[in-house]
Amino acid sequence: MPKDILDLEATPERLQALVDAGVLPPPYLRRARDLALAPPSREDWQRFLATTLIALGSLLVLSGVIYFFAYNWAGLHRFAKLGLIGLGITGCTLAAVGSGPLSQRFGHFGLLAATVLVGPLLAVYGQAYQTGADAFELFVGWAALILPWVAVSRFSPLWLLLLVLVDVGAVLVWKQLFDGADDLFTWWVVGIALFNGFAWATYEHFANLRVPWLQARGMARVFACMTVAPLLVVSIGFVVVPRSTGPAGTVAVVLLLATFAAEYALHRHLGGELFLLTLGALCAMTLVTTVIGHASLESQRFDDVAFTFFVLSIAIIAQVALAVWWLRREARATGTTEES
Amino acid sequence: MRPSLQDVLRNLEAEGLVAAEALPRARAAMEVHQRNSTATPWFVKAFAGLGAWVAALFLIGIFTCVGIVESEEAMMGLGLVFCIAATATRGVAGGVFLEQLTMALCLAGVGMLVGGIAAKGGLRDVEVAAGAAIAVGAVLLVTFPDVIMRFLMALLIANATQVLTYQLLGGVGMELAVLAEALLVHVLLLRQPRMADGLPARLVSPVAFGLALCLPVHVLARLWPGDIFRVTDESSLPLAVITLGLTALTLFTSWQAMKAQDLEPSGGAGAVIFGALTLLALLTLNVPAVIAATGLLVLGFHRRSNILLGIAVAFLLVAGNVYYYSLAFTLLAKALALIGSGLVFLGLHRFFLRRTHPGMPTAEVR
Repeated sequence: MPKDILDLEATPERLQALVDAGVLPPPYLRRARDLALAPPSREDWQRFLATTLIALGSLLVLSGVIYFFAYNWAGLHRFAKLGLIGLGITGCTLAAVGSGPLSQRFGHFGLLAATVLVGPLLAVYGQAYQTGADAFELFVGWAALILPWVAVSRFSPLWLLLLVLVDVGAVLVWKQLFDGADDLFTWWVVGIALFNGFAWATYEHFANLRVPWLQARGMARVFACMTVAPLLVVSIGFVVVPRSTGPAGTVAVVLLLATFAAEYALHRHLGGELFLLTLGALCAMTLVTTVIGHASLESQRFDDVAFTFFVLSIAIIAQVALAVWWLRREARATGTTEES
Repeated sequence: MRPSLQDVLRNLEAEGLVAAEALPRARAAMEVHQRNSTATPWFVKAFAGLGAWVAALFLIGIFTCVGIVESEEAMMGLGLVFCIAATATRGVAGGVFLEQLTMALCLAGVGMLVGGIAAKGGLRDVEVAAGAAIAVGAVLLVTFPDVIMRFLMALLIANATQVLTYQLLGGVGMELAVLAEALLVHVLLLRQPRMADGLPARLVSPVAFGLALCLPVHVLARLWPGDIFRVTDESSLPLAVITLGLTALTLFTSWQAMKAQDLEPSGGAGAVIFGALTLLALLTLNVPAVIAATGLLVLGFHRRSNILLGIAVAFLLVAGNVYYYSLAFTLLAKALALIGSGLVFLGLHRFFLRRTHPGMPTAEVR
């Protein structure tokens, strides 16, 4: 529930409810709707334009740098390559620091650009000096080098970049150090999910401590998806081919159930985090449907696929109905809005 | 992004239309309303829609397995029965389970009805199948009282219209359909605040968002001609014509947004905005996706819609990629163009900040 129920969005249904309750005189409903559907203020437009300009500008400059190196790859001396990237990193960092209080967003995007450029720097270094480094060393090194910036940036997209780099590095470690060993794959995926879950839990912990730049829910939801997705994949594998997944499958299922509990606990604690509940419901439904489908196919002859389809369609309808009923009940209880 | 009840009530209080004690009474009224409300966020609706689609596919699968699909008449008949029964049931009965069941049955019915018509006629009668899809979609759009179903029917109608216009008029038809699609999205969402209650007002959101989701796909598909679009290459409108049409639409929406801010289009700010958008269109004349995405971005922010903004941002990123890929320059020239245009945007950002926040070096601007 929001701190004040009147902080809910002024939808036409809610305004009509105020008319029905005698709070809003019927002749003024039209005016209330006009106010509810009013366009953004001039200040809102200015903020929007400023954010759009800086986001597009940063993206274009970064893309241009990548194209530049793609063109000049063979022709540039190694010192020129390293120097140019180093100059870019230094320039972006100085711009980030120098923007100061005038534009925090400008500083954030500058730092983002600097951290992205560290990757090409390592790649060029590896190429120039033929270090023989494996690809995973690039990603792991990239993540390690940007860690101090990420720690001081107070900018959650940088944490996402770090997480993605670590995940990619982990996959490459499995492929290159362990030769893509099949018996390790499921454990590796569970390990990645655990690491992503740690990032998610850390985010929620500091958000709970009211750290100002962690109050937006978007990044937490992304981390939740990155935690749940690998667990769901292994869990489905555990249902369909249990011998291939081994004990890792059991662990994945247990961890997946744990994420359901965590999602509900967060929803209650935050007074409405319906996205996480929906994510949990979707995962649960996927898993249950896989169990039902697998059991039905295993127990029937091939000719009875129609029976399996019938069972699955009824099962899906029933599960979605139950989930939507439950989610709507939770939405009512916590006052989650239409566009949460 | 949208105003809260508190914002609206305080504005009404300032205008003298409600008394000061209205806020506590509104609080109590909302407590009661929330206990009975069935409003749900967009991702719950998306979840319900996805579930209905998957269930509908399995239902069609049943009839495929038992051989009903071998008879087109049986498919069409069964599809029609499903659509009518589901619509009638949904209109009179409630409950979450029935909502899901009727949506799945109706979608399965649409699939079998249109599939049966398509199978009956063969590939020569694709336009008959597309026309049938448009007709069925239009009827269900009006009669089936569910916002998710209306959204799905809008998707069906938009895509079937592309197929039909391609069959009848070739590439030119598809492109005219794209322009009509864009026009409808902008007009519906711009006029939505002024619409009175009733069926048209309830149709605006699902239709507009359905078309907004299709528009990027239809615009971008035109820019990747392959074997299937061979006719599009031979008899199509010049891309510049499509870009100019979409530019006019974007300028119109921007004009509406400026009017809402009491900005004169003929004034300084108006001239800058119109000039910038026109320049953007001229620079990307052969890639209409860029100005189309920009138009959706302006519309999405003007109407305070997070969903439309999300669609527009994703569209703009892909459109930008297509634009630079399409440039017949060397990699070096492309690199310089990207860096140059990026620096221009960053410079504009700094200039814009200093103009809007002059003499406030210690103020944080977010």
